[in-house]
Amino acid sequence: MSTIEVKNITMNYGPVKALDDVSLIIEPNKIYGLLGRNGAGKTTLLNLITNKIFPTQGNVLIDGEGAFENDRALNKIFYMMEKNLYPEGMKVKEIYKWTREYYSLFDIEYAMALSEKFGLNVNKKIKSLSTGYTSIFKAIAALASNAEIILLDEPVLGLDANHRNMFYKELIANYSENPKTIIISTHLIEEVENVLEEVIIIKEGKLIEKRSVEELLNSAYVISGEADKADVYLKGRRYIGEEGLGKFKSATVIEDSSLKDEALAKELNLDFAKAELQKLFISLTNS
Amino acid sequence: MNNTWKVSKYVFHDYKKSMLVYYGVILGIFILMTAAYLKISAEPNSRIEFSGFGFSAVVFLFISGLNSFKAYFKFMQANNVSRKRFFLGTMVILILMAALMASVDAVCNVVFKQLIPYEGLFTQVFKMQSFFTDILWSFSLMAFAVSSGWFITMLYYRCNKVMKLVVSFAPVFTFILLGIIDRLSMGIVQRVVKLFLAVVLGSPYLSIVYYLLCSVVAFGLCYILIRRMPIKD
Repeated sequence: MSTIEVKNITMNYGPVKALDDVSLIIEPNKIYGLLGRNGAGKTTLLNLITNKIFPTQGNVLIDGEGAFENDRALNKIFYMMEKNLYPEGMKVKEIYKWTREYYSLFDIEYAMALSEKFGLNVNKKIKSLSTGYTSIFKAIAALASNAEIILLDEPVLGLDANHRNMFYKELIANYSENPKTIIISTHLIEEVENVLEEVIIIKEGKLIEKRSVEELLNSAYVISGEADKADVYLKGRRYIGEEGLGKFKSATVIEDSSLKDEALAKELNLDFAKAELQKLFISLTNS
Repeated sequence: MNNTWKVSKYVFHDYKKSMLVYYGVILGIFILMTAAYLKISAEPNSRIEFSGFGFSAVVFLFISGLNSFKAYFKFMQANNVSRKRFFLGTMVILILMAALMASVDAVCNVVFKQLIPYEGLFTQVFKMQSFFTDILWSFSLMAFAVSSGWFITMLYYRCNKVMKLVVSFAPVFTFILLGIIDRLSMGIVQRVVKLFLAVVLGSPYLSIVYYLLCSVVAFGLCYILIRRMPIKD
């Protein structure tokens, strides 16, 4: 069980502040979603946790130990980077073999089985894999690593809908069998919503939200019904994601779901529904 | 097995094939040389002498040093191996490769000499024969070759485009500058260089100390460069 503690991390790239005094604790055995718009600082945060880059200020602790050049701490993490760092001339199966050298719990049989399931030819060289299959290969290596912490940066990049669906299923199966800390950085919020337990939202280098998906979704709700009646309900309330189709209208009300006015909704013949994470994310990162 | 050895194992796995190919080529050339010797020596008044394998091993190790960074560094980063551990693991295997090739070279010198008129690099430079001093001297020279190759490749990797140009032209400018200084000072640079070469090449032991010191400096500079090395494409 490994805890990551990010303490007052600031990262400057010349005059650009990629991360600004970010502090957070990643608790063990949870699946986190690391969300943010393009250039928000998601990859920078993952790179800092794993020593790929070094912070201007602050530090990262893994189980209380500084992560800086600390092999014991770093070995608890498997980081699937968006960039390919594997030798292009090496075969997939050779990389599995070598990865086991560095991650002693790496499960080659599981990796081979997953490769077969995804239709990944393990005799192919990395340079001959398509973007989608490169992502599949890296994701399989991550899942088979059996590391205590797995960081996935855009794990479904280039994957078709079927493979994305398979990946999420495998991720949940892997996590259920062997709980671990997983951080997924992605833009496909709708797809990953049901997989996540907690979300970390970064906006322009600052941490703006870190709480459970359930809590976040309970902080809003959707109403829908006839447009005129919906407007009556929405009057004086903060709402986002207004959508209309003919006389029909729906909107996400930013209000704790326990505070919804069920009597008024009944009177106006409006329906309630659960808020969507993506809409909340857009609201939080647009304001 | 700790991570240092795992890094060494990975780097060596990649060089194993290159070394086998290299020694295969050396063996092939030796066979050709033997055949040439047998043919030429049969002719009256013929005189022939062979050399040069030692120098080719030095070149092989220099090129190995040049090729020992980018791909290995990225692979180790993919596996979350620290830069310190990568440095130690690679340095250990490069030194071991230098030791192995120096020993093989010294043994080859002895074997070749039995079959053809052959002079190894050590004998050519110092006009003397000593099996163990040959191994030590070859090792120090090869360690210097491999460490300087490693340092150059790291320096290039670390530099931006402008700095790469500066680093590339620095030796040329240094030579020009030394030429100017030499002309202005009526040959003082030449005298210093000659004195230095006389001291270093005058004694194999001083030469060993010199090359080993240079290797330590090159590896030390590599460590400084790698400490906060970014991942580049």
